[in-house]
Amino acid sequence: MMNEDEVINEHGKRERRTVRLVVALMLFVAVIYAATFIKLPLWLPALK
Amino acid sequence: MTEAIAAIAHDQHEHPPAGIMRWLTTTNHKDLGILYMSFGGIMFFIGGAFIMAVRAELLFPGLQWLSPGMYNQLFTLHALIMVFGAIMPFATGLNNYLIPLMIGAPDMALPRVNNWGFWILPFAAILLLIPFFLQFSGIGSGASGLGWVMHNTSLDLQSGIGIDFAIFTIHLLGISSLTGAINVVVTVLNMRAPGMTLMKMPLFVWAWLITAFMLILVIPVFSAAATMLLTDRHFGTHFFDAANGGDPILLQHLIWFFGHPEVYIVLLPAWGLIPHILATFSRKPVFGYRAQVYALWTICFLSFIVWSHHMLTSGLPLAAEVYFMYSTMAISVPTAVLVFCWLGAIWRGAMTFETPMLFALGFVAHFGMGALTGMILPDVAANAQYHNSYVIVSHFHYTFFGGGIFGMMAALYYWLPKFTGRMFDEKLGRLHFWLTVIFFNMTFIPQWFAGLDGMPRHIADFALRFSAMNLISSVGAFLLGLSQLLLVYTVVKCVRGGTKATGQVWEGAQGLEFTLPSPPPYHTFETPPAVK
Amino acid sequence: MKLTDAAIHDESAIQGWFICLFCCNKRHGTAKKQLPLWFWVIFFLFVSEPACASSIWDFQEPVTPVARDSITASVDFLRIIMGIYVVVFAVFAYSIFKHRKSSGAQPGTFTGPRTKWQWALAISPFLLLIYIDYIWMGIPAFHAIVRMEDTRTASEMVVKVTASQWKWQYEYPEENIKFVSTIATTQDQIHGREAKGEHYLQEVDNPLILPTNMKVRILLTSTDVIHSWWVPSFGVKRDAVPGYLREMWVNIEKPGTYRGQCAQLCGDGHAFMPIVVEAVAEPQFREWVAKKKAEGSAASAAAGKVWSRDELMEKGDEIYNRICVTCHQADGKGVPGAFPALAGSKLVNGPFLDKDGRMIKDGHLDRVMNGKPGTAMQAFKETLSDAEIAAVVTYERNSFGNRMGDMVQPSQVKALR
Repeated sequence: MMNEDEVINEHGKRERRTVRLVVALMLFVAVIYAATFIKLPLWLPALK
Repeated sequence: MTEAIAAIAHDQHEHPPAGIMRWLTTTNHKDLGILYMSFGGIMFFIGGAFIMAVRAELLFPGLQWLSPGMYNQLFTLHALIMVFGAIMPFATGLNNYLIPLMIGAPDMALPRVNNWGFWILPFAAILLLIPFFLQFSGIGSGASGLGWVMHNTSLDLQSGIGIDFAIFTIHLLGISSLTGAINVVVTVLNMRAPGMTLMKMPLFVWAWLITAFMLILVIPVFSAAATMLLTDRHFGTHFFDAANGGDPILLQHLIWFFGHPEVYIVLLPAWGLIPHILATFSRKPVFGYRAQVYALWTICFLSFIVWSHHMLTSGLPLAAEVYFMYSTMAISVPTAVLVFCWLGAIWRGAMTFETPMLFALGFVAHFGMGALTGMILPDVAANAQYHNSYVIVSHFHYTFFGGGIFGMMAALYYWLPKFTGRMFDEKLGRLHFWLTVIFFNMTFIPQWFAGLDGMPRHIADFALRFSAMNLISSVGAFLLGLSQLLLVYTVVKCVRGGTKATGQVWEGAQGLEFTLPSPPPYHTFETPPAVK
Repeated sequence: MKLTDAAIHDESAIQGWFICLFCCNKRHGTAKKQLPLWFWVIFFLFVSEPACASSIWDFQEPVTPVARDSITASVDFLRIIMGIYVVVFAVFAYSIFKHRKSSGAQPGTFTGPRTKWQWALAISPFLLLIYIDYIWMGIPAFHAIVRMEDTRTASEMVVKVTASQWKWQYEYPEENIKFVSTIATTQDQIHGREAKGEHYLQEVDNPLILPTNMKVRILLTSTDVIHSWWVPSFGVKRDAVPGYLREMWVNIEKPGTYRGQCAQLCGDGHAFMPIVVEAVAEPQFREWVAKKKAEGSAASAAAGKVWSRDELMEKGDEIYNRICVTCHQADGKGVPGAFPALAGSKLVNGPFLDKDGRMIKDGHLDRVMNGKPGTAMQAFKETLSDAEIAAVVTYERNSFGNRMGDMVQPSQVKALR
């Protein structure tokens, strides 16, 4: 059983991990959205 | 000190607001699960109504009561509503309700975002349907009539305001799916009970984790394509406009880059939950857990590199045609692993055939047919006969309905007693199953033959040689639609007062959700359970 | 559904095997081992006509090498997947019947293959699948694609197909022949006011005429949206994409009339743009070419001469009732909310050329020649000749109660191009 401080510490760690994960995923989404505007065939001539 | 804080918080939570405010402001994963599932259910019937109108027109050759323009709107809306309004939200509802229970977490990681993600949906649905209803008052030319995939670029550019509403809807749906997906990833990676390693998670959770990754990767592409279409239409860009140096085929690539993973996004939740049901009713442990996890990841990876098999008649270079044929065929291998594991699940079990098991077995039989018919499609030479014909329509209904919808119905019957605390009428459930099976096949087998015989899709009227097949299919469709009303009755009857359900509900049911009472308390696992 | 020789052969073969199995079981099985009658009944239904029908009979008859490749590949693959389904379903059905709680089965506790034999049983289906995909079907598929995409080798003729909403234009560039092929089925048939003809929705006014036994290269493009040219008997389907020139080839082995349809949703008229190809022996094809060329020079001569009002009205009447009536209706009153009325319309009753002889934008001639983008009103400048445009515009300006009194000469239309 964890004592009170360990519980809060564990909770804080999870919270920070959550924030980091969410921010990373949202950035990822934004990058993919933006990258789509660059025309793929420029990079993949086989598709032209 | 913390006890005092906890006590106050507890007090506030024990009394959620009553009535409509509860449902508008809830951040509770069980409430949101119910909202998503109810929304999905309502959309299922609306999408179904649209296609009943379509099948009514296709009873006989000739245009009896729909104009071609209206016909195009009806099947477009049917598809958009079924995929984005019915099945994806229903699967999301399942994940919301069940994932925290299955991993021993008190709620999803982002409860408020969860609420926003849901409430976008009714708004998006209304937005999609506004132009459809306005046209009857003479305003506008109706909703989008371009097919859900909108990949006839120049037609998109030429069309009326309905497509602009559809584009906005797509953006909103994308945001909702993304918030849901991010929520799932963070919850699963961050909030599992101690001792629940990734390889101890139930398959349903694995499937949703993979689905969430796929959504995060491809929804932005679909949204961007929709944005580009919007700017081409109204803001003077020329991404896709051939006359000004743009490339109509680019839109097809973008949409199908999303579109193919999308079909696995729809199917994965079902693939994740079927093993649970098969294991429970065979009274055996899950068969091939690792194999299925690896197979699901393989399908996920492969799904991103096969998209142009939807474009094999568009004039791709020879090398591309050959590549996409061979890469698509590879998907049959991990899919076969899944089928093999479903068979392994029931083999030498001690089966009983309650309604959830019937739907799970029905899923295996029908999805199997859909998957096998999918195997022959990437053969490029043969594809010329199949592409945009009713062969494709039949194929994807076996996978989407025979796979996706059967999976959702299996899940509904399986967990309904857990959600409501009451057992449903087993006889009605079985009747619903058999009627669905019979009429589903009656609807879609004739479509297969019509397609082989040369019937194209998306046509409001057909040549005389296709008459017999269409007549049978339409009658089957009407009866299929009517049979689903039985499901509504069964659910309502259950909620109103079926026999009380136990915590475990089904003999042989495993999983943390079945260690809780039925229905579970408003808050569960506030202290994480011990997982061995 | 067509009965082919192959189909009859396969059907008999399968039923022959069925009879063998049945007799063997009856003769050699002991009373306990003999399978019950209901099993044989169901098995028979499974292998008999309805089941076979799905694999063999429903493709339209292939008449080109590409079609034969693709139909052979399809049929082979369909047989394979049927075989796979039968085997897997048999295992599935067996388990459902045997491994029931009600018959006292004890559930196993295994979660995967354990013995070497079980692993072999587990791995072999996947090896078979890879063999089917990449060798059995995969290698012939590769050759079929290469053959299908080889449009240049030994091609003896070129035809250009241009798709528009909602008709096809066929061009023989080497012979300078060009014509439009529109659906011939009447609105009355479509709306049930007249009995439907045998080739309902699959008949046109001007079919594509092609010679048999010659490799014909077909170029494909579109003037507006993506369409798709599909004739099932030819085994080819290719999208007609605006701004692109696509290619395919056919070598029709048998004379006859072959019908197909547009295979890409292209708007309201998608179901109403059929394709009809008449394949004739080469001598007849040459005769037809000569005749068409003679007509063509007559038409351009017609554009040069001055037409009388009666000539214009007569021709205009014919064009209007073949092409325009679908939307603008026989009385010129259109369909409110969908297709504007020509009767009393400002556009029809307005000027079409300004004082310098230039075309007025959004005037009557502009509308007919260039269409109205974003609506169903197509551009007709590529698909109607000078004389036809002049005639139909004259007709509209002097019919339905319109009394403009003026005329348009074909030479005026020609000058505007």
